[in-house]
Amino acid sequence: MRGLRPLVGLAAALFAVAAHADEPAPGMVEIPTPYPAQDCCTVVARAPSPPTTVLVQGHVGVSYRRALREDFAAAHFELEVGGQDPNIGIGARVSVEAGATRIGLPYQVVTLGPAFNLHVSGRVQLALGLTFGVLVYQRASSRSDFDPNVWGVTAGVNGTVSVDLVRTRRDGALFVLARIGYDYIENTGDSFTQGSSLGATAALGYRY
Amino acid sequence: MWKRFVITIPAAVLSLTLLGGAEGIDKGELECEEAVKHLLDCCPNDGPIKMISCYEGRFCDHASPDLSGATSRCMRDASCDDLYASGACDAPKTTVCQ
Repeated sequence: MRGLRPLVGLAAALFAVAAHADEPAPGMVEIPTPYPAQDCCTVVARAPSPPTTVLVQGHVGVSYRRALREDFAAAHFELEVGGQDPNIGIGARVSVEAGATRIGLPYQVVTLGPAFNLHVSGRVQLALGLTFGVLVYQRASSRSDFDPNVWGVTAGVNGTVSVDLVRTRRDGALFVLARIGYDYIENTGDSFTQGSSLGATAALGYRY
Repeated sequence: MWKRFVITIPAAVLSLTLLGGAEGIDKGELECEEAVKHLLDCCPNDGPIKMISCYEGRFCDHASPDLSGATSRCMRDASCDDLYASGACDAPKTTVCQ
């Protein structure tokens, strides 16, 4: 047992040195380091912003409109160009309706306006659009020879729901859409309701 | 860039249409034009029908259609047989449609 005393003493001395290893030796002053050590830095990674892509979509369909106490039915074409990310999109639309009233009087509606698209799920989108344009119909009476068209300015709003049927690898899609809308048509009547127009559209479209 | 288009294009179209003289749709004029269209489709001789004026004056122009609103709606909704039998094909301006 007496032979182990030097070993115990050596172990105690090593423990004491290790315990005070960070303290400056007596008589010495600790000078703070001017720059932090290399291993103290933290790298903060920013979340990547959603990729923005060009939005190009168009559709062809049929429209029905009730205006001026008359029924209007037409073929409907539309092209929208803008930008989008995985959640929302915004674009400019140009729409053309070409058809006839219930009696067969030809008419056209051409509108332009902004649209705001919301991607509700992977396949479903909702859109809100504003329209500014003109409604034109062609006369049948004697005046048609020298003044064939009657024009009225229109302004309106519409809501669209579209469902993707087939999707491509580049985020494009073949889709169906349904739309309802309200337009005010410039007219000569005194009441607001006379110029009011309600419309519905069903179409098949493609998003590039 | 596209944001600018979204605002500019509708404003430009609206301005151009207003400057282009869009006069507004008149309900009576539209009904008259539809009646004329229906008469043209039904009647074998379109000479008398081509003489009908449906123009409704705007602003200081007080012109009115040759067919009243009630007559226009009646002719528009009548069958071709009824129009022919009533004499509307030969004298549409003076025919009483009921």
